[in-house]
Amino acid sequence: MTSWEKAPNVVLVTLDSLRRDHVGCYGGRAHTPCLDRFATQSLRFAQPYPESLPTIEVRQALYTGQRIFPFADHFSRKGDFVRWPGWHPLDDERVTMAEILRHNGYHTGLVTDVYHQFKPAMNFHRGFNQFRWIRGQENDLFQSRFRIPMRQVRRVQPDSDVGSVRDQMLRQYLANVEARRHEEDCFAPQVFRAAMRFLEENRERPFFLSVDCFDPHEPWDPPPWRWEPYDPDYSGRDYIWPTRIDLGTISAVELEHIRALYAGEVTMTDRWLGRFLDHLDALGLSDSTLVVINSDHGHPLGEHGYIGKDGLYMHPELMDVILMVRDPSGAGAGQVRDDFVYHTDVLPTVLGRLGVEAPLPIDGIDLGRSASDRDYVTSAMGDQVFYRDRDWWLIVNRDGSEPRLFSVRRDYPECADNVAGAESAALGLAMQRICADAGGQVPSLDPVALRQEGPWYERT
Amino acid sequence: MKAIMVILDSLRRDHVGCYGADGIHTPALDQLSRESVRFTNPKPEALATIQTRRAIHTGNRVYPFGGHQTPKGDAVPWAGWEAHDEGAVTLSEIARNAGFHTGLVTDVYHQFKPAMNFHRGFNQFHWVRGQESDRWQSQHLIDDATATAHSYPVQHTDAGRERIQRYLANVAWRRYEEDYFAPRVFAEAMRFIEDNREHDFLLCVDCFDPHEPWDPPRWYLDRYAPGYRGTDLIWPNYGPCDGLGPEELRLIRALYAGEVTMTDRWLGIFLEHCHDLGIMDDTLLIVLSDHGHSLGEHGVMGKLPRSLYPELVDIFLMVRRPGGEGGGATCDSFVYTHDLMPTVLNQLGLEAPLPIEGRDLMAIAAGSAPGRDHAVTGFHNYAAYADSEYWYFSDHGRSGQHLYALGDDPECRNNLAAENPDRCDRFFEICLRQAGGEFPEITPEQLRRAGPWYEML
Repeated sequence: MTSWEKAPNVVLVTLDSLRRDHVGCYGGRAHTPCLDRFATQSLRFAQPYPESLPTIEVRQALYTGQRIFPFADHFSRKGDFVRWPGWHPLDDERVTMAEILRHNGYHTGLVTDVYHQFKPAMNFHRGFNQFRWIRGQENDLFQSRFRIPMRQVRRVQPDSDVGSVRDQMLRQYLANVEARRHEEDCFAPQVFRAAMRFLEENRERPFFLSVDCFDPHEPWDPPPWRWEPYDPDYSGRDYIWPTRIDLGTISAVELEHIRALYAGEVTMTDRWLGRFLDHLDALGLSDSTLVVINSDHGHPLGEHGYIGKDGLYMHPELMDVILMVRDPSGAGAGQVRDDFVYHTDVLPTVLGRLGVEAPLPIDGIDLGRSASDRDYVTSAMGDQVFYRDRDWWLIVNRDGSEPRLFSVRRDYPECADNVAGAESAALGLAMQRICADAGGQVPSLDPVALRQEGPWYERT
Repeated sequence: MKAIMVILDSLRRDHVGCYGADGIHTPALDQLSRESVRFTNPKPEALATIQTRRAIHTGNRVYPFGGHQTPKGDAVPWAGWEAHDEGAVTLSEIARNAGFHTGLVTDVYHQFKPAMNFHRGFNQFHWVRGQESDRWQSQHLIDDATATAHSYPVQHTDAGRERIQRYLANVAWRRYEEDYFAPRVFAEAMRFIEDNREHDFLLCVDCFDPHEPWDPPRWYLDRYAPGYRGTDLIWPNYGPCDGLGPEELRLIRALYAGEVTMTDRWLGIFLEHCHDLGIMDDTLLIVLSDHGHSLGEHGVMGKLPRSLYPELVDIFLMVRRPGGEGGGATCDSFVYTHDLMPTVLNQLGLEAPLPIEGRDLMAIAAGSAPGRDHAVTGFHNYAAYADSEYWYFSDHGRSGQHLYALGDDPECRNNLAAENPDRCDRFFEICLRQAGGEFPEITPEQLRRAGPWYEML
């Protein structure tokens, strides 16, 4: 397969909330020249899906190769406001990609601004010889929120949203980014700059670097030159963090601008990813480094009446992600594969390429060995589960109620016409397969375990 | 109303001027003692770093401990070295719930290791990166020769060299005193005060210095070892120190003393800034250390359970009321690290939602709450008892008992255990009783889970 005498270095880039339909080489609508160029050098997977959502669930699958679905053991912890089922630290019994590669002589590094991974009791820096946490993303409790007067919060929030829980979160975020002056101070640039420093420092030894970039996750506040190409005439306010707002309270022009802000953040992220990849070239590492680029999930932007991530909205704009693998030998460059793949496949694929054996049995499969023979994929977020195959797309409650079934051949990506009533055979097969993947039955959620309330738990 | 807790890691009581330190320069702490109630007999209820943080933030004893498994991502094999219990409620959680803005500024990286959760309850936290073995910079930036020059022969192993290399890489960028750890921590704490001075707040400044490695700027070393130009052995190994010559021991003690003085200086700058910002009439301030550090007094270096002597166990503790009211007083009662939390709660007018074992230090000092005439400190499989006359410690199995009469022998040189079995019985019984009647089993396999997926110590 390769002329390599020694195993290559490994770089894993994860871009949070990057929708497949915003990436140029996937036919997307945003300007992503660096990802597009990377695709010409890579084996590109056309149908990757997260096996569970959101952020933390995906990191577990990515690092352990093990499915989290259907996350029967859900609980909340003090110190974390996120209450999604499955939103847990790595299982202490599992072994992670970093732990395995460190054991095999790699210098392992993590560069990230995904602050959820460092919340109380979290442990995603396990196995890394060196890790850099870029502080300040989203609601990271970094700077004092009292630095920001509330009137400044109002400027980036619809008037209808005043008094919402987001007031405090926005205030925290604005305090976190108050010192920002230039594009290089934005988050994706900070992350990729730190990643470049890692390359410079460790270029002379085998390394594994995980670059886990929260952008283009909201808040969406790229410099104006990033969003202006998408919305040149806009002169209103920037609603930088519009998740869960009532779309009836903003205008069509404002909604288009929100989409432009997102697209602008995608383009900025792509640009700095490109600089990082160029730096691999400049340091002479590209022909000895395996590079995997993926996104963890997408983000609905009002296509189905909602902005944000929720199990109810597991439409293509949330579920379709990207995955590309660039082998230093050039193997597979420019090819596109159509098999259904998961984040759990990344670990065995990397290990397979390196000739390293996984120490535990894992769910994922080595994509370098053969195409996946999966006929369908399943996933879950919160109270809902997800299924798709070549013909059907299903979003349904855990107890099987309120199925929404869409025809992939006729109604993708719109998913506008629910045919669950008419297609009972397709629905039945989908439910059967979901239950099979869940080990017999999809567990129902215990709201008490998830919603530990009271003054000692986080509210926002 | 505001409250500030300052924890200085590894600061021995006998290195604080106002506690009678001999030749150690700590003017800021000495000045603070004149505005504070100074406790002459404070003890950590358990060692080491993480155990003391658990007690300080929850108001409950951690002693005794057992049954815990070291998780992946940590390597410290001492019983009780665990995250906060999920069922516990911390001081910061209570204060935050009552509307206080809660902040943590720290370089104590152990608190942020995988599975740790000591930032629970804080509205705002700053982790100053790079202390000791914090996996921050690449260890490969430092070549082997440089690492060797900074280490002892016993450290010339792969793991030992990697630790030194990582630390040297973490500090390679330093240029000025302000770039050292205690200065960075207190500078960040000053920024916190500037940002939040108009609000009720609780701030915990948790400063790893004067914990080793000991590498203060040269001008601090000059005070204690003038003219020294030898190699920089900044990080002595834990264990027997009979391999160290008198000059090396003198250097190590001078480096430690220099780091104490640097830390004191920046504490002073921080307190000065608090005064300048006008908050000290409305602020409760508690300053303490978590444990000491053996510097060869009993043939060992570091923190070892089997060496529970005063140089390791004795800490300092001062409480400054708003405005410095009642300053200059002392209190001789034995008090504990887990007394901080109820003290702060009472001063802020808050109530604990769960029963807690700690007692209000101010009430003890005023005589309105009972004091203690002895203290028991646990460290892994050892326990120590101290009162105003005797110092006793033993392992749980009583295989090596130590008893000293502090009046004649304050440095604990002359072990009287063999001649005083009854007294040993009594003190051991007290240790056992405070452990609830029996010591939990401490199994080395749980705490030193070895294998490729676990951290090397």
